[in-house]
Amino acid sequence: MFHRQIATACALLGAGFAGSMQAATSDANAVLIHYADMAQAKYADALKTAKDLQAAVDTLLASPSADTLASARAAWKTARAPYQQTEVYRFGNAIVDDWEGKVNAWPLDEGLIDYVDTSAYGEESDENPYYSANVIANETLTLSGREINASEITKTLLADELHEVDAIEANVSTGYHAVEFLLWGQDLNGTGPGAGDRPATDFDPDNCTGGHCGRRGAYLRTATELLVDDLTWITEQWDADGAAREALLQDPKQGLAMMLTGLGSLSYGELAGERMRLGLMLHDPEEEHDCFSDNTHWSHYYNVLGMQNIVTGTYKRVDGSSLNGPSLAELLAAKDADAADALRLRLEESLAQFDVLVDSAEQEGVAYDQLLADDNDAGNAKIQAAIDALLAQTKAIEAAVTALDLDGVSIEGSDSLDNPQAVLHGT
Amino acid sequence: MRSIDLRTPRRLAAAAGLMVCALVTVSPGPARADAPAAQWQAVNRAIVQGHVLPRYAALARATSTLQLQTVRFCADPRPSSLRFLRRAYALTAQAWADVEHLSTGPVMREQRRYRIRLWPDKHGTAAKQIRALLASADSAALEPQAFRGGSVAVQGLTAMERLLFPVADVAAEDFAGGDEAAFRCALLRAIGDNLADIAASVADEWESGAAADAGARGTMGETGGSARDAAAGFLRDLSTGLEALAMNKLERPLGPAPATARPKRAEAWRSDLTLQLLRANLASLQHLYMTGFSPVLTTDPIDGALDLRIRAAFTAALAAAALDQPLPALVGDAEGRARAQHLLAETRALQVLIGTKLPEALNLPLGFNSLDGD
Repeated sequence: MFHRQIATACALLGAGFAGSMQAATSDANAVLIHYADMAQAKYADALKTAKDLQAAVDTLLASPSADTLASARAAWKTARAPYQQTEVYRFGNAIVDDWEGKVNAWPLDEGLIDYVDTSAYGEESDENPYYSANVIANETLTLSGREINASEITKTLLADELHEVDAIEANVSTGYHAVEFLLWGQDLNGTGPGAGDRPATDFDPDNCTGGHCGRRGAYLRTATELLVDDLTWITEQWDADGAAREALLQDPKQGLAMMLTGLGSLSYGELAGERMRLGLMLHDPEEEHDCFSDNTHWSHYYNVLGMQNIVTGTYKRVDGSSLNGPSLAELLAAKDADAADALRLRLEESLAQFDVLVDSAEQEGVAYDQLLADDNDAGNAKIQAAIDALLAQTKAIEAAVTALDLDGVSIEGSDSLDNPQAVLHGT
Repeated sequence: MRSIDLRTPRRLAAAAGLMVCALVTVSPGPARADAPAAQWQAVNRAIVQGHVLPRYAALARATSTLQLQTVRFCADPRPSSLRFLRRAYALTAQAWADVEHLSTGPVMREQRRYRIRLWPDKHGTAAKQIRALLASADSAALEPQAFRGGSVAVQGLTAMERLLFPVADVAAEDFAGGDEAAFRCALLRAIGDNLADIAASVADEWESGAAADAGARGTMGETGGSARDAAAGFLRDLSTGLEALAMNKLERPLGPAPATARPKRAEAWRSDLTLQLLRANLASLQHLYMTGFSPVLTTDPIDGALDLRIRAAFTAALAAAALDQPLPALVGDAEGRARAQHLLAETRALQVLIGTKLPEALNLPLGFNSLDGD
């Protein structure tokens, strides 16, 4: 086998080997261009649905009621679907990775933002001095030894002063999960049924519950605006002359390595590990990705669907139209048809396992946090089956890397992940 | 720059077609592309017999002593028995540091690896759950069956350290008299029993599995897979062990700047074992390398040069780890911090050799690892 490949290569060398290399390169380029096009479409959809969320938040704040709060919550859930499908662009694309903490940092010490029930939450943490800072209730804050005027809730305050203050990742003041906490409040049901249940009057200065309703509304409005700003920025990075697209298309081999690094890292270390396995081992209801809204089943499902998009080259947009183009599976099939079939199949199997989690929440009324309970063996098994599917999928991605001859290809990583010295010495 | 996590690097991968043809005529091909299964069997057998089995046996002995000391202490909580118990804890923590990098075989069954120790505990779950458990004084939760199936955060070394080395000075009396103290001791005993049980199972299953499988793959690692896959698993453990050391044990406590250093993110700061455990990790990783992979490299002159570089890098990292002050005290201090950063730099340099050059020389894939997420 080895010798035959070499013989073929040698024959080609005499008869237009360079031409054949060019064909392979252009195939890879076409796949990468479509991968970038799908990124642009996904982020544009995430942006559009975030703007819808912003409109719903404006309505809620203009006339706080159970109905307007329910509409804002529904808009948040809708906005999550396209965003979670973009997460497969993390890890491999340094620009995305350096940016994503602004919009999807998790888990968070929500006591930084607003009131909490201390009987469940506690009052302090070894890891975080701002565990209960409560910016909504406090117009003056001491951060890193400096006194901060927080009398006005501004984008600068949330994004530049509070977010990840003192480099503590649990200090999340912006992004989907900060907005989620404001819309739902803490889920105080443990591993029992029910999500967060913040009353609409928390946003009603005239009939205020929870105190500081005006500041809470200002926080929600500002955090939602920031989400729209941040999604606008990342969508532009995938424009024809955007930096993310440019970095991806510099070199086909490196571009493919970036694509597969994103797929493998999201499958294994992030989704199977941080977001799922840890929660299962701790049986802790707060170890679910969307812990205030109990929307975790959908968030995980759309992560997996986002990975399948990359494999099949197909993305269904929020307006119902479809984006189809050259896919990783096709490129892989030209090199190793079995590896391509296995990769497609593993993704199908994963999606089926995550369907089980969706059905549990949506059909049977058993949410993800209930599946985590230590006395729920059947629930634990459902989560474990989904984790196992992700592990099998990771093996298929590893096989694809080998088949595409990407082993050992260096990719540009993000500063925070790969160049600790740059972070340590500041910029 | 970082290398893609999935590597089956080939010497010739980047070479032009012409080069490939030229080399094929004069050499049998990439260094170890078709290394016989026997080579990997020998590597695995050396690692299992020389590295894995003795270390798990030592862990089983240490946890057995620890279990005995929890029983003695709780029968008669006195300052002297507390000292013995803490000593047994330290020896167990050290025995764990010697095997912490291993992620194949029996330790991966039934979440054992995490039940022995959950760390880093980034979300502070252990503190929260131990507080809740002590407040509930629910003795049913300490029954072996329930305890094993409960949260990993309360059933291993992380939880025991919190009980034996709290921030306020602990006294033997904290475990004597009153219902709360009695429950505290019952929890200590449950952890001691649990650790001894897990470690004994892991050691036994490795012994019997290795005996049964010695002729085939030289390891009982995961079911299925070839001897080469099993060797790749050990290589991944070596590389991931160094990555975890750099990332979790050094970078997290160092933080971006002295003002935002996080000494309490250092491993084992409560029991003041941070450096000792870190040195044990490095020494054990060095031992894994010397036992399994170094002998393969020394059969080839080019690879032999890499072997010398890796050996030197281990020596340099171990020298940098010979700090005279506890790591948590160093990270927030300008001068001390520089020494901790030097240790980090040496560890990173070693990790680059192990994570990129070594897989290339051995022609073994590294694959994705569990640290690839956030």
